[in-house]
Amino acid sequence: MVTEVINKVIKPKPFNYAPVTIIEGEQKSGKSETAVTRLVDPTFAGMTSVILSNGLEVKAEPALNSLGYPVIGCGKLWLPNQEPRRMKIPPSSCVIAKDINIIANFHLYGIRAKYMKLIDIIKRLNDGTIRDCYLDIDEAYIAGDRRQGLSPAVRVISKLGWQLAKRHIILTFCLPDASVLDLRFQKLETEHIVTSYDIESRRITMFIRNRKKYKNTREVSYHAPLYWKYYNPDEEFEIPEVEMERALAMVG
Amino acid sequence: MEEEKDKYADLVTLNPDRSEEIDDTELDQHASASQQEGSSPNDSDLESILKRLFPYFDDDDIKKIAPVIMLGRVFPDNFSTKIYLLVCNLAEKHSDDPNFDVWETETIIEGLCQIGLEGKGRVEAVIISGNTKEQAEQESTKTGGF
Repeated sequence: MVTEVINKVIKPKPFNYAPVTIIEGEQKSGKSETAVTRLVDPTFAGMTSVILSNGLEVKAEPALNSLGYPVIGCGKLWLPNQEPRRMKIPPSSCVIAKDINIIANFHLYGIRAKYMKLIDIIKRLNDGTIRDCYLDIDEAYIAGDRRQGLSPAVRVISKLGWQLAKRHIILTFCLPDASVLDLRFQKLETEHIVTSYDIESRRITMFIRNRKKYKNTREVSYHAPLYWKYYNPDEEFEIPEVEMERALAMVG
Repeated sequence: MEEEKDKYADLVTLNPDRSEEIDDTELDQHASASQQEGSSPNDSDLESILKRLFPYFDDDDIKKIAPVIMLGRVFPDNFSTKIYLLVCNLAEKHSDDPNFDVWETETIIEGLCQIGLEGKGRVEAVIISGNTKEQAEQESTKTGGF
């Protein structure tokens, strides 16, 4: 407990349990963005280099504030022919944290990550790619719908779910209603977050229930525009072709 | 293991950020989501007391020695000498650093040593966690263990 309080800098936790977060909330309530914060913050905390807009990769270190947390959008950079200094990350750059591996089924910008569609994640389950990483699945009802609990896709992904600790994966699901998610995923959950967005203050509020970390439910809000440049809120997700074909057959 | 890392490197994408589409002036003044979560007022009593008892430091050198001093034992006979030696050592290490503040460092080190004085930090941590456990047990008894 004491060590946890002292070592506040965000790092992947030791894998004595499998962290699975389910983020739910209405549409445009900040679910995806909350998932993005869980990827951007560790990347800035473990920043090792930055690829500038001209393609040049320069050494970098995290810029921590007085409380030991990374300042998002800032870093200590070793620019060519200049003394290393703490500065704002130049526009159109990409931050790299060599120890942080991220796999997501949506595109991330400005941080090193791997975009993989669900089909690619399933294809690569046995080739050693899906391990030692943060795995974010947005619009998780597409892959893990409760009503399709017996479908091969749900069965395969749920088998991955039981091996998260062995594979050192920190898993996050985002979807509008957690009860839509297959029961097997719900049983894996270690953290539950409900989000809401206030247009006036442009703040996203998270209600976090995580019994492994906090005794009580925690209500936390953060400034939403801080993370806007790291993802595209209007990115669309494809509906599986097979389901569309079946639907067409039924309608026809 | 190396081969697996290479696999990730082969597949990775390095998209530049979307700063051309987003106005990000003065955004760096806002605290990150993890900071907001970490400094939430919804901390339990134990969490908030431990944060005060065992503070965090930005300086790498102090960060390294702080947990040991705070949780170890500083004997009263060694108290002043220890502060003197630690501050001298840090001052020597930062001899080229114009931002190094001797007075600030001395105050921090003295504070750390006071936490560790006669094992005070360790004793307090044990008392607090003991109280919390006792409280939890009482609550559990009240509800009949359910």
